[in-house]
Order: sequence, then C-alpha cells, then structure tokens
Amino acid sequence: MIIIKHLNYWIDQQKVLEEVSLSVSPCSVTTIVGPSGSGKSSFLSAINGLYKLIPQTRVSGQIFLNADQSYNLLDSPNHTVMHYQTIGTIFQQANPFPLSIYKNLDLPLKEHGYPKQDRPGIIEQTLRDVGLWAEVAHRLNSSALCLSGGQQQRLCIARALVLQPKILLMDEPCSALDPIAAFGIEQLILKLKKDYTLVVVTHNLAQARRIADYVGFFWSHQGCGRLIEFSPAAQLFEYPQHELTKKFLNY
Amino acid sequence: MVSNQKRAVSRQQDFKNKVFTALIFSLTGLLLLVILWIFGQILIRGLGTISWEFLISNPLNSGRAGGIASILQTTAWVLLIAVTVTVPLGLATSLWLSEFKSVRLGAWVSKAIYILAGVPSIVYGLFGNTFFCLYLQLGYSILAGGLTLAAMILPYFIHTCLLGFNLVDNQWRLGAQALGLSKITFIVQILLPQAAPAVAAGLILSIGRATAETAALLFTSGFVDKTPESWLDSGRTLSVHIYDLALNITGGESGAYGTALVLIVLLFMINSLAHQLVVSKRNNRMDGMNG
Repeated sequence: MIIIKHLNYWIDQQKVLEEVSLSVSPCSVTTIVGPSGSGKSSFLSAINGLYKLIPQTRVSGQIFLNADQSYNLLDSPNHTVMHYQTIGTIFQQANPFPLSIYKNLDLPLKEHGYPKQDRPGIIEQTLRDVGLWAEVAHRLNSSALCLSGGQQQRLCIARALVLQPKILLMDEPCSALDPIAAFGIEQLILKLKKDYTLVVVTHNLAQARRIADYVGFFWSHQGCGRLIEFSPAAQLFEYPQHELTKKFLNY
Repeated sequence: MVSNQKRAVSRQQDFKNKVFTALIFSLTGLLLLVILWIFGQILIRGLGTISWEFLISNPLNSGRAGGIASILQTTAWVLLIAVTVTVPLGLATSLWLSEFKSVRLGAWVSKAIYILAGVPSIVYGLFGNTFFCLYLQLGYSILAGGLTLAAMILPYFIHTCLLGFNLVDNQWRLGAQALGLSKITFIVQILLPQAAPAVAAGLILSIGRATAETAALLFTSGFVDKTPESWLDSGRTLSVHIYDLALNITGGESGAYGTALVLIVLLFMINSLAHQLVVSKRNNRMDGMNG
C-alpha cells in the first residue's frame, strides 16, 4: 500500500503539486487521470524518487509504504536506490536498454546480487508472467531494440518485475502504443493486480474505466496540480462529486 | 486578377531560388577549387620526393636530403604521450560533467572548456614552455611536447565526448535509476558502449589536430631532427619539420613538400576513420529504430 500525506512538489519556485493526500490500496489498480500539466507525472516521480534527477526540484510531505507509517520515504537520503525492490516504474516511452533481451533482465538481477544460477529461472518466469516468453524464447540474445513497441513495453514491465517489487508505477504506459498493443498492456495490468499494487497515470478516460479500481482526479489551477477527487472507480465515474470532475468526464 | 498576382509572385520566387542556388553552387565550387589547387600543388611537388627510402631514412643536411624516419618516430612518440594523457583525463572529465556534476561547478567547468578550446595553439606553446619545460624542468623534450599537445586537445576531446554522451537517450538514465542501478553500472554497461563511436571519433579527430600542430611544439619539443632515444630528448614532428624546411632551410622545399604530402595522407586517413565511425554509429541507431 501507499499512504501519501500533504505532498507538495516544486520545480524551481513554481509549485506544481499542492497538498495531495491519498491512500492506495494493496492489490488494486489506482489510476490517476487529469489534463496535461496537472502534476500526474510529478506525483509518480515523488513516489519513486526520480524527482531527484530533475534539477531544482523539491518535495515536502510524507509517503509511507507500510500501514504502521513508521518510515517516511521522503526522509530517505537515498530514496531511489533503497526502494528499487519495493517500487518498479514503467515509463511512457518504452525504454529497454540497448542490450539483448536477456541482458535487459539480467542486468538488474546481477546488480542487486541475485545468485547466477537463479537468474535464468527468474527471467524465464517473469517473461512468462508478462506474456512475452513464447515470442522471445528463441531469440533471447537478440537486441531488445528490435522488438515491437508493445513487446518493448512488456519487456520493461518484466524488467521492473524481476526485482519482485510490491508496487508498480506506470506513467501513461500505453500512450505510445497502437490500440492492439495497448489492449495487451491493459490485460497485463489487470492480471498483475492480483499480486501488485498498481498506480497508473493515464489521460485516456476510456482506459481508466476499463482498468481502474480507484481513480484520483487531478486538476491544475494556475499551474499547480491538486487532487480534486479520489474515490472507487464506479463511484467517481457514475456519481462524480466535484463540479470539475463532472466537467472533465463530459469532455 | 488574383491568379495573375499569384503567378507573378511565384515567378519572382522562382527567380530568387535560381539566383541563390547559383550563388551557393559557385561559392562551393570556388572553395573546392582552392582546396584542389592546394592539394594539387602538394601532390605534384611532393610526389617526386616520396619513396620508400624517404620514409625509412633519417634527414641529412638539415633535411635537404635523406628522409623523415626520425621525424615520423618523434611524431608517433609525441602523439602517443598526448593520447595516453588525454584519454583518461578527458573521459573522466566528460563523464563527471555528464553524470555527476553539481550544477554550478559544472557550468564553470564547461565554460572554461569552451574558452580553452578556442585558445590559439601558440598560447598553448608558451604555456607548455613555461610550465613543462621550465617549471617542471622537462626541457625541450618529446614529453613536454606531448603534454602540451594533450593540454591543447583535451578541451576538444571533452567537448566531443560530451556531445556523444548527450546523444544517449535520457530514458535509459531514468530506467537505470528506477531499477536502482548504480551510476557505474549505467556508465559501463550502457553509456560508454553507446557513446563509444562518438568518443573514438572525437579522439581520432583530436589526434588529427595534434598531428597537424606546429606552434604548440616549437617551444616545447623543439627542432632536433635526430632519432629520439628517450622521451626526454628533443625531437621534431612532421609539421615542425615542414615549417623549418619551408622557412629556415634554403633548398629544403622538396623535402617540405614530400613531408607535407605524407602529413596530408596521414590526416586524410585519420579523418576518414573518424567519419567511418560516425556513419556506422548513425546506421546502428537507425537499425535499432526501424527494427
């Protein structure tokens, strides 16, 4: 689970997220919807710590990954590296490394000290989990860049999964894919929620309807993103509480 | 009415296009002619001097006769020293600038590198003379010359390395970070292999510059045209040899042209190697995208 309290996020002096608080339930899909520039991606980068790579960025607030709320992620000096095993991230643009399919998955395992004899088994199982094994089993040593867009994205999901995280953050994982490949990723998301906690940013409302258990709706006011409404998907889509949500759903 | 006006405008544009095309073609042609004339002169005057004998025998009578064996040897030594110093220092600096820097210090270092890249080589020569020859007491030596050349090509090499690193997709950086990969792993496994052709091309072009350098070596490695016995001996590189034969030695002209031809062939080979590397990299990239 993820518990977020009073999250604020600045780039330079500009506040891009203000007072976001919400709890993500384990083993569910929480989608974050909203227009461009409403701070959806910034929200993810606060959770996985990648905001530290962006110069002049600052966050405040609390992020906990346990119910006992004992350890604030934002207090950790080495946020990203420490939590690689808890949080996996999938990006909008599939970004397999310019290595072979096998090495893409082997590299993180090796880096984090998984014993050599265990790695082939983990890799095969993970590729089966994302439905890629049948397509790549015979060419594990060819370049990952030769895969199609949808396959690349599934490989990236597999690459995050080999480290056995509990949480998967996905930043518009389907927006660069054709509808068929996007459908494949959506099916995979629905399958993965049995074992993982997923937070999926999307600007595709139809997609959110198909996959979401919970929906957070972000809206930007003068360049600063706020969480307007957060509720179970059925409730938000059928009975939106806030005027802005109603307006957005009707676009 | 309107269509007539349109036609007039398009005719005018047509005319402008033709004039500009003609202008560009003739200027390019002029430039090509000048280059061809220079090459032609060197080829015609130098070809007579060049022979296997010329390449393997030492200069005699201050270079009026004999060959350039010792000169080639000195050139190789000086370049070897320059490259040995430049590669680790340059790679380390460019990696730091690309992957580790603090924003403010990084900006200062980049600025310094840009300025240094524009400093005339004679200034490097003076610096090398003061610092390496006098202060570090290396005297006129191959070592001092090589180090001076290293100082001269470092900013250029760093700049090309940085260009190569910047071309490496930032998405990989994010991906590596999200997987908790260390910077070292990212650099060794992804950044350097991807940027290797650019780094190699940068190095080769830097070597090209160093090979063609005269001014920075006049006061550092000196003029002695004998075969060097150690890196603390003074020695004369190809371009210094040409300079000396052309300006100071009466009757040294044919030797100068012969040496110039050798130098130009060397530079041509170096540059086409660099070009090959850059092109092959571009093709690889395309393959990756299409595949």
